[in-house]
Amino acid sequence: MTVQSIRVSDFTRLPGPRYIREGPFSGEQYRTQRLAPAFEAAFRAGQTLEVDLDGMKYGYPASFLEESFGGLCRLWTDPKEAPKLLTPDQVWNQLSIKSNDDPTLVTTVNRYIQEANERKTTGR
Amino acid sequence: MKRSWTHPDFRRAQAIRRKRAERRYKIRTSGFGGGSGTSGPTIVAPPVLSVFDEPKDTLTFCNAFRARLSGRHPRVFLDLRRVVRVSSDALLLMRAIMKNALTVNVGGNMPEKLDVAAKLKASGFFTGFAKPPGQLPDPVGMMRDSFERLVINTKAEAMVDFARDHASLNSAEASVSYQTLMEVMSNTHHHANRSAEAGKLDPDVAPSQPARWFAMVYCEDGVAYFTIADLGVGILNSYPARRFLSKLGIGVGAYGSARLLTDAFTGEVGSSTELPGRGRGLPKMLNDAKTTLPTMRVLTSSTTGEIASLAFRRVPEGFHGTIFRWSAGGRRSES
Repeated sequence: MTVQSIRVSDFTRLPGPRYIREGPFSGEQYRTQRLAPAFEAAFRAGQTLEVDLDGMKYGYPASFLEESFGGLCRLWTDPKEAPKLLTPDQVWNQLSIKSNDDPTLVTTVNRYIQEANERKTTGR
Repeated sequence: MKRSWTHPDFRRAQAIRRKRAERRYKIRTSGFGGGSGTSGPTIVAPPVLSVFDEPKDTLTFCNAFRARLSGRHPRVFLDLRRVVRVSSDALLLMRAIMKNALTVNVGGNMPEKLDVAAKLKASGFFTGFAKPPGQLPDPVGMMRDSFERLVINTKAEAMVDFARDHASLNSAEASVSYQTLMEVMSNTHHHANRSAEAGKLDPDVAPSQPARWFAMVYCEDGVAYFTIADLGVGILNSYPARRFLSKLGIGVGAYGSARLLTDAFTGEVGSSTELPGRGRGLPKMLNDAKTTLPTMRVLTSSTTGEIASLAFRRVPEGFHGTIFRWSAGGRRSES
């Protein structure tokens, strides 16, 4: 399978908050402007999307990363929103995460995708 | 019934809080005569001002100061002559109280101990209203502070860059410090404002006036001391904590504030909002404290402790707000 590729460092080297309303360079902004369009293009072309996480000055705040990748999964697993309904595993398989600076981020992104729709119904 | 800052009930509650704080601290009602020209009650500072080392005295002092500034005629004189040690967390809290006040009319004198006076002067706290006692030595450390309502990545970057320039941070400490600053700014934006306290705010709705965060990094002897604070409702009175407790049908008193704070850091409280993907900030901070920043501590809603060990306890003096503090580049104590 051929691969399309995007780099987060083309968007920012200082990832910001979760939502656009909170401040600049948010995860929501990255997802809507860069990640989701590239994912859809790769999906329609039958290609894998490689996302290069390297090049950040001080790494990733958890909420930026969750909103980017967890948010992408929520979009593609929502029957009302998804261009084509996918499972979290299918979203993950459509992606190839590159992270040489911090290899643990690959696992983290996978977890955010797998747990993107989880909601606990009780406090404990 | 809709409540607001100008509602009579709010004004009454504010006046009661102020009187209680003044009674506790025995504020003198005559002017101090320190030559500042500011008449009004004098608040005498304790010898050690440090939020985490001397929480009771420091919070009593800061609460009295805050209560006085929240009044209609906020004139106050701060007597700091006896202070022999002031840590950067206390400095930040005092500056935050000043910045948060609608109107400020504060006078004060400097500590008699010259190095402490130099540190206070360097913080900018007394700019414009106090004369240093004679020739001051150069301050031992260097500091930079910042405040904002939004989550601004460049402000967090500037704090960490400053720390790297003036202390011996490794790259992991620098990265985790940046990420922690961003998460705390974000938590302040979402949960610290007063409408969240009223329980009216859905966490996914933007607050009309988000609370302000205040951050400071103080570098001394190769170590950077980070503090970030807000004067909002505190983690234990935030929307997620209230929702968590309401599901259990129990109040914070019966549940235990230390236990509730532990649940906040282990992710139980954040996940109770039932919003997918939310509530990951505090658990990540717990993990980062265990692996990279073991000195990270928190004071929120009158509960404090070391995050890595989840060893929390109540402090005798109440506090509305949240303060995080950690050091990077070593484990020495701040002078």
